[in-house]
Formats: sequence, structure tokens, C-alpha cells
Amino acid sequence: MGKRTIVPFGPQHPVLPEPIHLDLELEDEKVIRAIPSIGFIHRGLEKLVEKREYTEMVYVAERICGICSFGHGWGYCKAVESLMKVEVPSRAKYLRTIWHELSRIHSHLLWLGLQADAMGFESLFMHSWRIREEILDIFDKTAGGRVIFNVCKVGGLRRDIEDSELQGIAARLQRLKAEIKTITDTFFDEPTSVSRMRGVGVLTKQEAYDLCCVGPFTRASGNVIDMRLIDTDGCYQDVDFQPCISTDGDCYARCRVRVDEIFESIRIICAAIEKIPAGAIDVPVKGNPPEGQFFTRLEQPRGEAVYYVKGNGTRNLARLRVRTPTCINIPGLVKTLQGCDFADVPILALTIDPCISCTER
Amino acid sequence: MVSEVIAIKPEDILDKAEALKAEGYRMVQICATRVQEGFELSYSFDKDLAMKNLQFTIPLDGKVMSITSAYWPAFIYENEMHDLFGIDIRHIADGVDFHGHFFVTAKKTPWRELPPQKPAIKFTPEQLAAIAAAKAKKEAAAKAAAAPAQNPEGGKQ
Amino acid sequence: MSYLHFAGTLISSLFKKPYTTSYPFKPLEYPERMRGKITIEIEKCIFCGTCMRKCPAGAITVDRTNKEWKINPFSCVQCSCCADNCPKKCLHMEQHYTTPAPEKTEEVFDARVPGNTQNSGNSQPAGK
Repeated sequence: MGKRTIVPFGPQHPVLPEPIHLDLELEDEKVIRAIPSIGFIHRGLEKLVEKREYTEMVYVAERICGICSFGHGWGYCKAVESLMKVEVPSRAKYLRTIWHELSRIHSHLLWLGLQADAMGFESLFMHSWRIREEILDIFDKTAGGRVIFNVCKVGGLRRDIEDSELQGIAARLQRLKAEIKTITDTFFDEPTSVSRMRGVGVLTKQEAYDLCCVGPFTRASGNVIDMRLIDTDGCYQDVDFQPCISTDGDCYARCRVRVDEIFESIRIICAAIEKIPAGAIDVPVKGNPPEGQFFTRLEQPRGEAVYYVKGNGTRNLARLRVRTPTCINIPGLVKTLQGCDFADVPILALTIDPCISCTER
Repeated sequence: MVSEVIAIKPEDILDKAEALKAEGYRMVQICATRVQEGFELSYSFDKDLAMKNLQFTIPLDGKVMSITSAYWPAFIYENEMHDLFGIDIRHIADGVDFHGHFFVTAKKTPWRELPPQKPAIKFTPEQLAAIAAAKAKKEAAAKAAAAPAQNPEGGKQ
Repeated sequence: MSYLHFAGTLISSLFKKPYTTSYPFKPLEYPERMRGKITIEIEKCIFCGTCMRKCPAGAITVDRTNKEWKINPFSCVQCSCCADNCPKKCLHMEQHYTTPAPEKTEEVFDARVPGNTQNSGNSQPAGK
């Protein structure tokens, strides 16, 4: 019988982008059990529907998280537009898809940097984030802000991107592909990186499905669960989208899936820029959300996010519920931590791509 | 997006969850809303990207059976509902029942009270008179603007 | 597999100039559509209060009787809702950020003062 200790992990840890607390029960160097505890960044944003009208609530929804900010704005607008039966023009759908896929690229590059940092490879971390800065420059030029965009509104978009600017973005992304490949090849070929990730935190296909995991976490185990396959509010049907799947189910496979998604997103953006129609970017929306409810789903960089809105005929919504992907991936994290080495805990905590400010709202 | 909402009875939730699990459904989310009568709970399940939602209402002190025996990851939502709304959920699986220490907030069950109803705007008698006078003035100005246009056509008043 | 896979990038970055700008010694170049700070042309303002009602952060206070327009730049989230809804188009979203300060102060614009010398919104933008 080894020595049993309880070690607290978080809320402050260099590898965590946001605070989560895990009590790890250790026997010698193996983790027997992990007990999660959240609430450090709870701001009660869903309760703000009582004070903010439905048009102003977009700004609150966007600020739920800094990494998946555009996704939350789009998801909220999508849900309210479906509740109020508003049809958004085609150009707005294409632009929203372009911004969302750019958001996915920047989120995955951020994750790659944090993964390198968790392994101790600081210079790779810095170079991943240097490439991410190019994407943030694109956001700055088009939306006006690096992190929070304020472009989505109920009924469409507030800003347009000119076609010449769109061609510039496509050219820039094509140039970035070679740089991204140098960085990601290091993750997959460097022996130290491979030995830290291969065989760590394995989840079989059935286990990942039973644990109800979403996003790259489950796609790396072989489950084809991607909301972009059924999405009708973006232009994914027109650009021949293919989900990125792997079957190994370990941290290496999850890294591979996220890198493949970066290149797939670049392909989607370039295809969307070629096919984008001209036209209006918004429709006027009058009146209040009617009595009723609506569920809608969106594929965020971390997985499937569910947006539930309930109207009661007034200018304030009765309920807004945002179920973010990290929320449902935490049981998967707790399960993979059972039986792992203590030194692998930071890698495993990062492999679900935790976005705790999304989870706690 | 294909999604249907089915109303069920609160006692049936565990049976329905076990039936859906046997059919191969994945649990998506559990949501609680504070309504006048108590709480409205929505359980969402998904299979092959088609969503099914089960909904029911319980009174303020009502009890709900936990579905962690069928879907283990439901403990996240059930603990969160217990900590934020104060809903009494029975028989959460061993090891994942955190007894109120999962979602740590400064104030316990912060979302349990009904949201404040916005009062209807009430005008004082003077304000009502001023609004009526402004409306009458606007209508008179519109009539005066229309009258000169009709004069050349035979002196209608 | 090679231990020197990343060596090419590392060695070449020794000889390249830094990717970052040495701000505040060199000025920052802001993109054209950047959302930094709200400014007002107080002579055109009619004090209707639309900006105050539309602001989601509650950063603007409009005083019709005293002809005063106040904004708390540290509460402002730079959404430019006020600028989009202003009927007289006297609100503008400037590119430079609010100057950092040791405490949160409001900026007050008073239309009654001739020449507007008392207005506090003339702080120098950072980095210039």
C-alpha cells in the first residue's frame, strides 16, 4: 500500500489559462481520483437577461469568454433570430462563417502554444503565439478589436468586409500555411514532444461516447460529432466541409485533430471568400421576442455549444442558457485522470482545451 | 436544426433517460429555468445530430431523481443546478455528489429567487394632459397643412 | 524524427529583428477601423439622451438642464452603439485607446461654457 496524499491543482497554475480547482488523490505518483471544483470566475452573466434587453444582451454574450467570443455572439443571435423567425441575408451568413473559422484558427493556435508551454517547450509556445498575432491583426482590421468583435447583432452584422480586403485575407492565410506547418511538424516529430503525448490519456470510441464528450476531444477517439455537418446558419453546406477524425484517442491524436482543423479552416475560409455573394448584411428587426423557446447548437473550437432562449413577449428574455463544450468535457477529464501519472496531469488538463470562463459564465 | 420538445411527468425522467440510453442517445445538457410555479427543467439528448428535449415543471420544494445511474456525466449539471438554484436532486452517484461544494459562490443558491418584474410605466395626470395636448397640436398642424392643398379644388373645409 | 527539427526556426530568429513594436518609444500604428475611445463634438449635441439609453455598459450620463455630457471611459466597452444611434452624428469612435490613469475618472463636456475650455476630453493619447 503506497502513501496517500491529496494535492491541490489550481486554481492558480502556470499551465491553466483559466482557474479550475482539482483535488488530486495520489498514491505514490499515480492519481487515484480527481475531484473538480469550479466557481472562481462565475459572473452570473445568464442572470443579466433580467436587466439587459435582448438587443443589448449580445454584448454580454460575447464577453462570456475571450477565446470563443465570436462563437457566443453568433450563437446568441442565431437563437434569438430563430425564435423571432428572422431570416438573415446570405452575405451575412458567409461573413459570420469566415469570422468564426478565423476564430477557430486563433483558438487552436492558442491551444498549441499552451500545450508547448505545458511540455516546457517555451520557444515553440512563443512562435505559435507569434503566428496567432497575424490572425489577431486580421480581426483588428476587420472588426475593430483583437479579442471582442462587437460585429454580431440580432438580424445580421454591424460591419461589412470589402471584397478587396477579403482577397487580402485569403492571400495572407495561404502564406501563413507554410509557417504553421513548420510549427506543427515540431509537435509531431520532435521526440520529446511525442513521448509526452503518445499513449497519454487514452479514451476509446465507446468510452468517449458514453462520457458524452464533444469536440476534438471525442473526434480524436473516432466519434463523428460535429455540428458543422448540419449547420444551416453558416455556409458550411456550400464549401464541402469534412470533419477531422482520428482513431487513437490519446493526447497525440487530439493534437493531430486540432492541427488538421486549422488547415481545414483555412480551406473553408478561402472557399467561402471565392463564393461570397454581394448584398445586404442585415435585416431590420422589429418587436419583441414572442412567447416560446428555442434550442440551437453551434460548433465552437472546443466542441458543441448549445444556446437556449426563452421569450415572454417583453423586451427582456425570460432565460438564456449557454451550455459550453468544456462543461460536458469535465467528466471526461475526471475519467482520464484516474490512473495517470502525476507528471501527466498538466498535459491532461490541457488536452480537453479547458475554457472555464465559458463553463461558469 | 432538428429538435423536438416533449413534455413528460417529473417521475418518469429516470425511465425515459434509461430508455434513451438503451437506444444509443448521448446526453447534451440539462437546463433549469425559474418560472412562476417553481422550476422548469429541460433535458436534452442527441443521436446522429438530431436533438430531443424532455421538459417538465416541478414546484419550488419538489424533488427530482438523478439520472447519473444512466448517464454518469450528468453529475456536472445536477450539481450545478443544486448549487445555483437549490433544486433537490436525489441519489446522485457516489463519488460525484459534491453536496454543494462544486460550484462555490459567495451567496448560496443565487438564482433561486424569481427575477424582479419590471413595473408598468405610470404617468401622472399632468404628464397625461401634456401628452394629450401635444397629440392634439400635432393633429391640428397636419390638418392645416392638408387644408391649403384642398382650397384650390372648390373650397372644402 | 530529428532533435534539430526546430533548430532552423530558432537560429533564424536570432538574426531577425523583433516581431514586437517597442511601444511606447515608437508610436503604435492603429488600423483604420479600430475601436478605441469615444469622443464628442459637443457643439452639435442636442442632449436627447439616446446614447445614454442605448449604452449597454451605462457609461454615459446626459444632463439636459445643465447641458452636460459625461462619459466614464473605463466603463465603456467600445461597442460604438452610441455612435451608431446618435441622431446628430456628433459621436465618433477614435482609434487611440484611453490613456491609462491611476484611478477611474469621468470625462465631462459642458456645452454652456464658451470656447469649451473646461472640457476634460482633451487628454493626450498614449504613445504619441
